[in-house]
Amino acid sequence: MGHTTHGSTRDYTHDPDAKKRFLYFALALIILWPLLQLAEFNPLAFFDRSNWQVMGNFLSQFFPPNIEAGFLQLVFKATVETLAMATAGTALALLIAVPLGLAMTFSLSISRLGPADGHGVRKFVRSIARLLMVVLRGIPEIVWALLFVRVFGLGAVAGVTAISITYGGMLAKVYAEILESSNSQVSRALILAGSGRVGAFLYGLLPGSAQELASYTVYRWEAAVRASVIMGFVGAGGLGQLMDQSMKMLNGSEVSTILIVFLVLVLFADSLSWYVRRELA
Amino acid sequence: MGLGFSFEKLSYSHSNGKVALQGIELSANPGEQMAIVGPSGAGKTTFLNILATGTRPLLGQIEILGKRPWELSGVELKKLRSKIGLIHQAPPLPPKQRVVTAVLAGKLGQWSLLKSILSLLYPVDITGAHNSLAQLDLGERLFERCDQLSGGQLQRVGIARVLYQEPELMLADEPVSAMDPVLSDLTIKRLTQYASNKGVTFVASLHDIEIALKWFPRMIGLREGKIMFDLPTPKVTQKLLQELYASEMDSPDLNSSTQSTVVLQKSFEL
Repeated sequence: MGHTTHGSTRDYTHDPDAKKRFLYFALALIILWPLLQLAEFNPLAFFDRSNWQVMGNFLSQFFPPNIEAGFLQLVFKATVETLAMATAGTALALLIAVPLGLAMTFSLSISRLGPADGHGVRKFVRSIARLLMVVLRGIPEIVWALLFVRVFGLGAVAGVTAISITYGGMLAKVYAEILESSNSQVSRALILAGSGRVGAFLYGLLPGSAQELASYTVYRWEAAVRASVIMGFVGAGGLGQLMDQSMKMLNGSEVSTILIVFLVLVLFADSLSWYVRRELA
Repeated sequence: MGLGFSFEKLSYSHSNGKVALQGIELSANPGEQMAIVGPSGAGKTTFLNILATGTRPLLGQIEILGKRPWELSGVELKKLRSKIGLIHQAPPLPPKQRVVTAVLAGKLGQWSLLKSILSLLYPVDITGAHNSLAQLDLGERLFERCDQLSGGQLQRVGIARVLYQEPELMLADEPVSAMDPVLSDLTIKRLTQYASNKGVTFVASLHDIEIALKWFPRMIGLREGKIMFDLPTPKVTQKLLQELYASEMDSPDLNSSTQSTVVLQKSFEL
């Protein structure tokens, strides 16, 4: 079809796209090398004996983990608090991310069919939404947290709000990208039959992208659990605050207990994600 | 019932500058049925897309069911669209969706958002979906997933969705391309019967001349974006059809042009 050339005019023994591929690879190396230099990356440092000793001394402070009943009770209480904050933060983030993500998704645009009058205006609105998303997630959680501590005072509210804002921006971006990469013919057909944006999403895009949407959301929840360390700085309680205290007291065995709890939580998030994906398959 | 449609001096070019349709003048009375035939790339799909309000013509006037779609407000356009049912050549169905949900989606334009959401929790009209599928002999596949069906079955689920939509203007873009000859014939028969019973205006593009001649009272020959003929089916001659597909047969790459002629002759004998 597309190619009209026949036989002799073209070379069919070599890949015509190879040159471009090689150029990009070379370009990536040329850019990456000075960056590694700037970051003072020196792989030989890993093989230096004295460095190993320093690391060993540091790690030995963490051993053995503190498993006294009194401390474990504290850890348990802090874990519950952390889970509550991470879950509340992610739930609030969804309130920001779902409408923003749906508004951003081009394949759910009704005005693009035709295109209808006012499509330009809608495109402009969409780029405003994109800018808003960049601001939400471009500013680190800790900065939002420090800002909200001034507004709400020390406590969980500042932490939860900071997480929901940053994660709302991240989720919206990834949601829109996941929806964008699923089959847009399906939602287009529904819009052509008079469906609205939300209907076209629920019946057209969701069946094909539910797995990806769910597993990214669970991953963000997992990240929110870790981000609770930041909550510690703003006095929100939870594992973050406990870890902050233990570190300040240079109590390595307590820190290692808390780290083990983090690992268990991540493992839990991982199996949750696996389960949800299997159920949605 | 509906008001048919009319095109006046309609033209459309693709974004790459290729002219798809040129000076199309055409109108249909409510309840009229017509087949659009012509070689690949003649503009059949673009024509149907314009009728489905999915593509906006660059020049000319169109009126569909008594409305000029591109002068309507967003709400009115949505309402008009809910009365137009387009059967796609590649059925736009998510593989993981159940057949019942895929069929019920035909009425999204008529349902409230709340009803659409509730129907995901429990299908609100199982009987309706089953009836539409049963008309295409697929009633027993109601609760299966779309990825468990064959290409021809999927195409029929896509048709069942449009039947469930109960449009006033029904459009079909190669609706039977994935079906065997017997099933193709049966499906087109059912579609034309449905349109007759409900008084629905029906436009279908078809590659299969035989089926077009057999079931449609009116035929439009489209070639290189222009209407070559627009005739009651009995007046469509073999010569006209040969001219319509002439470029394909004259093509230097095709030395088996006799084959196409045979098909045309065969189909004309029907």
